[in-house]
Amino acid sequence: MTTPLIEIRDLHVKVGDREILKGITLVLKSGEVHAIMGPNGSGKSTLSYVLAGREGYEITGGSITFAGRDLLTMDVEERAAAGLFLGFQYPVEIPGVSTMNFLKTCVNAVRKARGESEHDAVTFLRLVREKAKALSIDDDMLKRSLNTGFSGGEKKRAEILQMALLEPRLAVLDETDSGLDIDALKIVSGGVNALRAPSRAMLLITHYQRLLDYIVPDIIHVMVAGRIEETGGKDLAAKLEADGYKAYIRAA
Amino acid sequence: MTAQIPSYLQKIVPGAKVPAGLPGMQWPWMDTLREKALTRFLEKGLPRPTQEEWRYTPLFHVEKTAYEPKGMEEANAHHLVPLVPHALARMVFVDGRFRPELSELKAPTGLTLSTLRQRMLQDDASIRYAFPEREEGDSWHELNLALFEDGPLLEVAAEFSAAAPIEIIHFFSDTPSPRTFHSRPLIDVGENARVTFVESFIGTGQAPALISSLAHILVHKNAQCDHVLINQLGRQTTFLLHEQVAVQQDGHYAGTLLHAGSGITRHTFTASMEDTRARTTLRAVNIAHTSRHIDLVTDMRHSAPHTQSQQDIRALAAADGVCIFQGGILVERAAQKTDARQDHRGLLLSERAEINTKPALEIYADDVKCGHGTTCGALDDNHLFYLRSRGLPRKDAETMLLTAFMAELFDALADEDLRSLLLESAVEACHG
Repeated sequence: MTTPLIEIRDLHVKVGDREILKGITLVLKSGEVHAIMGPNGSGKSTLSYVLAGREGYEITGGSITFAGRDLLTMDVEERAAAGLFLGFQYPVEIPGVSTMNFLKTCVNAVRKARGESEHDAVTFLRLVREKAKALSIDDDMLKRSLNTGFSGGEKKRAEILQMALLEPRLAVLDETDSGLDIDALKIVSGGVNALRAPSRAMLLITHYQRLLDYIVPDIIHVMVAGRIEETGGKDLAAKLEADGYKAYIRAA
Repeated sequence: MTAQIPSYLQKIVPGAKVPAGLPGMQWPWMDTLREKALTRFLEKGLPRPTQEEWRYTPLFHVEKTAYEPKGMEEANAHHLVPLVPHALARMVFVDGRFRPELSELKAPTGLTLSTLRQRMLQDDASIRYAFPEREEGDSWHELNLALFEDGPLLEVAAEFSAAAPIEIIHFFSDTPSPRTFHSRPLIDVGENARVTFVESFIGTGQAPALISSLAHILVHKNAQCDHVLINQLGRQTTFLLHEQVAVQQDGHYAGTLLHAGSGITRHTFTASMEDTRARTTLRAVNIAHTSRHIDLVTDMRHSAPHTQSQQDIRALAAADGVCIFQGGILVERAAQKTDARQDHRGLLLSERAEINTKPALEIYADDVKCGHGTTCGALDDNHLFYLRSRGLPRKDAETMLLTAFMAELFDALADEDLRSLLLESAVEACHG
């Protein structure tokens, strides 16, 4: 019986006055791919931000253990160094920071934090090109400012490139499929699937079942109004596609 | 009648007379010019905050300092490292004095490097145009005219195209007592010439200093003059700088400023575009960390049709630093089809930091494109979170964002080494 990679136990989170997460319990083991599906406003993104350590969320109860450590006491960058990656729903545009420079700085920062040697420019360039090719990212895109003027598809591909370079233990992908057409979805999914590994776990957050045709999860959780209402296998997706989330919405 | 000498100048102009030994004293007209300028200055005094344009920048601390005259010995400046190793030519001034042994004067034909003092010693009165009967503008111009020690004089012949930048270094040494220095750079870029100047003001001293520079830059027809100015003067320095640029038909002056030094900086930039299609571009990065104060005043004057000006300012204030931008545009009636823009972005890095902007547009022509905009904020939390979530420690994430904020302005420089130099100096200044 392997130790879980991440254990979220009875997590309660408030934003301002409102309780958004009302006791989330979720356990992932390395090698597993989980999906969280739910309607808008269910707290899915909140969960992803809380995992990454964003400010503005008040943890009022529960715990998160990641790779044996108390995640909630770790800084944002510490969590990244420990192997947590968040694929943003809306990747941030940062004009003036070249994509290549950004990638190199981040990868080397994480390697340094893990006690690994930093890549030199030549090695890194080779590494990036290798991984970028599979995602149809050309040199031109790498020279541009980070995410600046990128289409939705380009932004998501850039997120997956970061994931490929940072080699996280747990990748949380927040609505990775939002704003993508079929072709972009295929490339992004291909990139994610190529990163599936026994040493890695993934948590896909989505409200459309479509993504899960391409990245087939092992386990699906249904999150509605801050609670996980059901957990099942990959077939749960089809059921949700047919019936929607109505059945899970509790009477007020 | 002898004007009253304020205490801060008593040792500099004892008896209200201009000190001996300044260049041009052999010419009666220069002698008279200086004396009259001094008299006028002593009557007016330094600019006061009661004057609208000076309301942000009081100079009372200057009046409370007792400046000492310069000694005769030359400061040791052999440790000085050029900022532009690949410069085509270099002029070095130490404490206002030209130092030929530290300079690199072997320049190709078409580029003449000399100093005001040299020209005056040669009895060359052709530079008389740079010395008006009376100085218009701020009262400190009169003090500069009365006391200026020297100034680089650079003449670029028509058609000359410089393969590398020309470097001018104004270095001010560490002196035990307060000093005051005044310079008058003169740059003349001939028709169709192409040249880049990198002018730096560097000071390491701990003692208070009052440094003024009154520069005249003339860009002839169809010439391209790129001028990079770097301020890395000491924290105890009050730096008064006025650049008067005149651009002729189809000429282009492109200035790139980095203010990353001096405690109090007052920089006035005036550009006169009196011929068709004259253009002026000014990019400035002003960094005011702990107790530093930067006041940049611009005056883009359009008096001919189809002229253009562009001002791009990035101001950064940290700790209790203050940045001020008073951006002026004047478009006279005859200047139809003028295109004049002003864009200011401010970044506040602490709660006590302050950024003030005051656009002043005076437009008399009716067929023009004029615009101004200003934004001001702190580092974006979303950006910081995104970078940290990829493993960057907070300080490094901040540095990356600060760099991004400023880099764009330096990107316009073709010379990669210059871009790196400016960016590195700027980032360093951001850390106080």
